[in-house]
Amino acid sequence: MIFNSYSFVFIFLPVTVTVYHLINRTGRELPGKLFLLASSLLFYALGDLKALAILTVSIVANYLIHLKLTSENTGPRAGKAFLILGLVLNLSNLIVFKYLGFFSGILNSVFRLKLEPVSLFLPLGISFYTFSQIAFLADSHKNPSVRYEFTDYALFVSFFPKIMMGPIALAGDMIPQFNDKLRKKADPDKIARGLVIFSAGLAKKVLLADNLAGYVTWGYSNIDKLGSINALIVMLSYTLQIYFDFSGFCDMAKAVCLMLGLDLPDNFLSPYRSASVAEFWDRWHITLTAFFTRYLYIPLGGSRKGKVRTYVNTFIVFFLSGLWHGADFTFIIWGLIHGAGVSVCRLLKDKGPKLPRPVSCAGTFLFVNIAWVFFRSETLTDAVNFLKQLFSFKLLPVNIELIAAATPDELQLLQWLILTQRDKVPYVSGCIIIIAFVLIAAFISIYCKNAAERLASLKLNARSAATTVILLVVSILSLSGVTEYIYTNF
Amino acid sequence: MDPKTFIRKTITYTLISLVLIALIVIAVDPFMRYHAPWFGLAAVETDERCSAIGLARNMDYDTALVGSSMSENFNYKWFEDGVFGDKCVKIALQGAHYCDYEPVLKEVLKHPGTKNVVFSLDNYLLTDDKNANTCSIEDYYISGIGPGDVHYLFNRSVIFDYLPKFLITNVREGFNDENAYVWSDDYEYSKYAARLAYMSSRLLIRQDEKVYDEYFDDADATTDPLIGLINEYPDVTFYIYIPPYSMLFWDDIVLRGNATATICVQEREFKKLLECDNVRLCYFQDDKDVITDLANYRDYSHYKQDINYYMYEAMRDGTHLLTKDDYYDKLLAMYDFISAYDYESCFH
Repeated sequence: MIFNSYSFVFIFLPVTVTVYHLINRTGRELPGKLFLLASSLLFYALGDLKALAILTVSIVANYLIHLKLTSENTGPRAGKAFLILGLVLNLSNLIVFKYLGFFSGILNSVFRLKLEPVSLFLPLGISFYTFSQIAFLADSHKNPSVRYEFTDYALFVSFFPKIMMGPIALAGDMIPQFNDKLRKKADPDKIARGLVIFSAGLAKKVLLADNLAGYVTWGYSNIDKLGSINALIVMLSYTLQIYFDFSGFCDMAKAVCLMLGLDLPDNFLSPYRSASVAEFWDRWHITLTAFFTRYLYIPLGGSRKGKVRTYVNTFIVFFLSGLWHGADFTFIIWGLIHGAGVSVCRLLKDKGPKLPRPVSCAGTFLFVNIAWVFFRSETLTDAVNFLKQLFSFKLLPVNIELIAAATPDELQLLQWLILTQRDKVPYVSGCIIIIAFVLIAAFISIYCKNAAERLASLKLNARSAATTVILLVVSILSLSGVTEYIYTNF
Repeated sequence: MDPKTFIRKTITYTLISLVLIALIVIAVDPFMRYHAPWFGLAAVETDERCSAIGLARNMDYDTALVGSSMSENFNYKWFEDGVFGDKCVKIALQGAHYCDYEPVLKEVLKHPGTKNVVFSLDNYLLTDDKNANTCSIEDYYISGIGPGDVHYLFNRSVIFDYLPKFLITNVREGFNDENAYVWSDDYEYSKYAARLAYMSSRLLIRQDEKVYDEYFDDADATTDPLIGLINEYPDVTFYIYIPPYSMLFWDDIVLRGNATATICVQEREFKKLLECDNVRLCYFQDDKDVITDLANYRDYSHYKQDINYYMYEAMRDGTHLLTKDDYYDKLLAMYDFISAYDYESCFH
């Protein structure tokens, strides 16, 4: 199941929120948690039934290791051994399902072997729940006095708002919330705010990201036809698509949690406002950055072991971040580009010239855009070809097929009415629509309030109610035929 | 505003808006899912895939035209001539595979008044890889009224595109519902146009003739279930016609090394179809006056509306029929013709 589906909006969400709060009225803790756990497993099974067994085994195995790590009988050496065992098990799970094909491909090309290509199915949310559990084991090892109940742990890992695409919340942040009596009482203020944020997140996904996806899909399937102008439109479209897609999901996840009386950590804080690549990573996929910082960068020594080690550590983090996103060289290069960007930022921080913030922001935005080209391309060759088209300065006009790829229905109707042309998108108005759409989407991504800002300043009044109703209705009308989330593939 | 009031108002107004939208969609029903058009409106062109099942289920007809783009230029009024019947519905599915036709045909045959089905048996239905075909009609349109209807009732394309166009088309000056899905006037028909459309995909080197065992399986995947339906409804007459593709089509078949396979597959499948007493198999492919004159075509297979009218007349008058006695000879003659034809003449 996904958030942007009729079944979620009309059935799953209202039923889950209502029943959960009704159960909590009895004053007993366990039934509410069991209900949320059952709902989460159902949500997961409806999205990926065959992966449910893998998730279940993973939860049980990690919990058993957690018991060992927090046992009084486990000494420091045994604790370390169990932690390593947990890491190996979790990473093996990830490698088997996500990276086996990639690694066998590398072995084939380097050693000229003829290994059969391996392509197991990718269990839904595996990258997210694996990292959550690694963090959990590391915390259990560090703090063995904290032992959790199995129900709490299973609910934490499988919790439906975050299982598919994060954010990568920590057990220490989430499990106490499940047991907080103050959060058990239905809070109308939180539910109302949840409605507002959910409508905005849904609109980001189905009104913006899915329309931009049309331009992107066409562009990356027709790289040779692009020229500079089309390449620029497609590149910007993907930059905006991935932001609205992922942050829209995270907003909805946060909103659902609010309705259940819980808080998820922020994952996006308007990243395209960033004035440096380092700042970008403080605003983009914040929980992943936090995970790598806490569980990799700092254990590697962080910035405490000299300049060279700092840069090496930075590159290791971004190399693994790239690899986490996908089993392909395109993702690794994307990660390394960002590693280089962050390193240069660090280098220039003290010595470099101070640029006006708008200039820094524009430069960072351009840098991030170009890096996304590697992220989106099927192969490195495609990425290079795309960039060649972008910087070819061949001023080919906007391609008619690009225009036709995703003109919104309302605008198609308008054109049909004005120009009485049946099923044909007139060229000039098509160009205006596509450019205006991308510019408006860019404006929203940079200047409009993000979910955290909106929550902080939200006033529940007629205006916000009307906006919520309009966004909900128009988004619900757009649920038919939506694309899948980009990050569910990671 | 009090949070409880905010929640109550937001949910209430959202639900009211959605109910109103659903009621408008049900009343206008541009895909004819719930009823034939009300308010004196006609079933105008919307979306072939979305409206096919609705047309089959809810329109009033005794003759159904079901087929690919080869059927689109039929004027349904031609078939309301008293010979075929009094009421006709056209259900065209451009480029459809049999998995799309099957639910439509089932609906047509379940329809109480159906006497005739006119079906275009395109060559690609017999030769396409059955495992590669993807069905293009959504399940929720095929199934009965149920939860899947949310996809229709709350659909931005329906509300902001198909529904207004449906209404506006109906009231526009000069509107004629006989032109639904007719594209004949939108294209140029000439040797030049047909060649131009074909040339980019023309093979440069002729391939060897292929074995065709798998082609029989692929053809069976279409004709076996079709014959099952035909036998299930012995009182319905099936006019199954083989459209007249141009010689450019046969040039492509020959260059790909598929000539023998194509004719052999046709021979095998036609034989099975001719075993059914309620089938009239109309074979237009061997009409040399039509297929050698590229001025009838806009590409290698699509012809102008005059050809549709000529096919209608032939089906009405019972000409161009294959019989158990002559189908083999006619196919053999066609094989000789396409094998010996001077295709270069198409390009001079």
